[in-house]
Amino acid sequence: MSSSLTSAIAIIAGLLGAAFAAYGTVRAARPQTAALGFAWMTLTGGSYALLALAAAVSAPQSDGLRAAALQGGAVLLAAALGGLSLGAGGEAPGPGRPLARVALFVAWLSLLGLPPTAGFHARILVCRSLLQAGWSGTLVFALAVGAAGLVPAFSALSLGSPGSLRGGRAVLAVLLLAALLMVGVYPGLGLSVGDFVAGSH
Amino acid sequence: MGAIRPDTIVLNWLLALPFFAALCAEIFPRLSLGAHAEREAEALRRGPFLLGALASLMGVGLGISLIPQTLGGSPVAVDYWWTRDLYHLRFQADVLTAPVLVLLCAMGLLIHLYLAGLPLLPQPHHRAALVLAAQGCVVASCLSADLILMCFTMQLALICLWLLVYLDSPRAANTLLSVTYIGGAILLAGVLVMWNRVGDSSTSPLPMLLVPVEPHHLQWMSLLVLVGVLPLIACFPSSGWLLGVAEGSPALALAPGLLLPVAGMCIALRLIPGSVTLGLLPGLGAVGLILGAATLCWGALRAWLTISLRNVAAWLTVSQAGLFLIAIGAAASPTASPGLLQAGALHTLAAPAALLGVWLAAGAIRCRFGTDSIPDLAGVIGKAPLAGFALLVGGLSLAGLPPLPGFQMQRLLISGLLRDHQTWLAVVVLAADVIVAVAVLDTLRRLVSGTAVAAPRWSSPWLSVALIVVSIALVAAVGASAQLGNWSDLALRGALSISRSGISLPR
Repeated sequence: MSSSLTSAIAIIAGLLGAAFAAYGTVRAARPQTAALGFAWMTLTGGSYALLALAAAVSAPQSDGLRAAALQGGAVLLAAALGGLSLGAGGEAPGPGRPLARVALFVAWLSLLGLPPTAGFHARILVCRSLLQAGWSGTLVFALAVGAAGLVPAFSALSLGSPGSLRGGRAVLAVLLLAALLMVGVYPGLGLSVGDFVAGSH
Repeated sequence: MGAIRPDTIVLNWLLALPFFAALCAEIFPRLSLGAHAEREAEALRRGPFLLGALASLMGVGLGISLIPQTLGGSPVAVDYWWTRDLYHLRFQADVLTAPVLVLLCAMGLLIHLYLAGLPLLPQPHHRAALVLAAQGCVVASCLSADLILMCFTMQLALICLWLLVYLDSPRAANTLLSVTYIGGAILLAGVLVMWNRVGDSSTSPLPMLLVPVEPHHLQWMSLLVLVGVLPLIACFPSSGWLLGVAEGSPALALAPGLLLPVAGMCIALRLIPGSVTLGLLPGLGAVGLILGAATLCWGALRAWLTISLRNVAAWLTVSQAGLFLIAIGAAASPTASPGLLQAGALHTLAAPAALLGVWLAAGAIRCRFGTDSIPDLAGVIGKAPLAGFALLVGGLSLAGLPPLPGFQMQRLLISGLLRDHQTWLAVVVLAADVIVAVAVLDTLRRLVSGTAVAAPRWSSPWLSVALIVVSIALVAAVGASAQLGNWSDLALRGALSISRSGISLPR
């Protein structure tokens, strides 16, 4: 593949990633339901992975591929956890309600790239790969969009709390929660997966 | 190096207890209320805070026990046994470690005692656990030898403080997180630029910056770090979060208003002079001086003009951020005296202790009399003499009056400024000191004179204990004031040596 085509692909992917990130954050900031806001923020999280991929295409020696793998994994885990919590439905109190609240909170933290979740390390690697690719402007944009992501998070928190998680859903939520926090506290786990994905390419 | 100390294990267990209590309270919300009579349940509410105070007291003990070793010049590694594999969470117990541990744990101790003294505080388990978590994260952030871990723990502390404030005032909590998160993101950008410049092959990232890196890159890195810490230390124009948090009650502002400035100042001290030679950064110095002078004057004036005690405390906190920036900014001059950086280091330790006295006094009066409007509190000092004494000692220390600890910092700062021929800046600092002293004395005058209008609602032994402790600590520092100059030198060397012995970044 010629270098001009490669750089064109990288630029297009970068622009798409930036556009999706901005659009997702703007849409998430005005949600009608907590689930909708979360869904738009998941799109924003995914677009960070696209940005990292673009950086990898532009500068193959960068951490882009590893960052994209880690960011993708973190977003998937957060989406599954948030989906489970929001899918619990209703406002009925019950023994599983604190779990649903904690699960949703941690999922939001991961999407926002905040500690102690996998999202923090993923976001750092994405930013670093952008820097390595020489895309300082995109890095500034990514950090600004990340800060703007607090607005939908605050809106979602004010929209009420999820219902109860019971049975198999509760077990699955605990597992996902543990995975997100474990990778957050022990980032070596996530980075190994990222290395594996990057190595296989 | 690396030995597991029994006291740290006990400390870890004590730290964990309020978290277990919070978990139990979350899962079994009606257990304590159902199992006990109302009076007993009320008495039990103080339990988590007293556990938190006990854990903090252990931290103070740990810090004090480290002093002889660190003063002897032999570094001690304090390994947290459950975090051995988490990055490199090792506190390289250099001379900075002991004072930072003692200061932050003493603050945590007094905050817990203060919260234990408040009546009918909902969700006490959560509050105790969150204060402890924030305190622990700030300690880790100040002392971690790993750049990314520093940001990780800093942001985690922000989350804990956000949750803590959210329990009472969601709006103020959101403002707090928004403003400080933006600062944290800018700080992270600075750290990432450092990381990118240094490269993966380095195992000691920060000293690498001392070898030739283009001056404009150094300038940018340091500028990002400086701008990133501004919201943390509540510097103008990003001090709105502190006033918003204090709006509800001084109790809300106590933890974020004290812990975040310590963290911000410590990080700034470690990352700016700790990683680059300040003399190379005249632009940074100019930014620091302009922002510092503006913040100092604005904070001092507003503290004088305000009519509520909580705002006196909040604006005095803002003014102290300005003083710190002046010390850092002036130290960036190529002809700066080393005393200026020492002043910054001493300020990081002395100002929070004095501010603690002011905040505790404001909080105690508000709790006891139900208001913190100064006109409504005429003559209350006769009924709350301890609060008045803590306000006097803390406030005058902030104004730099001898022989309080603030005087030593001001002496170093002003003599450094005069030696560097920055007379105008020394005059600005002295003028602001006069305004701070007038603000504190005028507030006290209004609290002393007149007949008491506000009637005391209740009294708390815990608050009295907290006020006595902070007053004694500040007065005791008077006895050690001759040694404070040496302490500032040690603290500065500690800050720089931890930064310059950075451990490898995660690959």
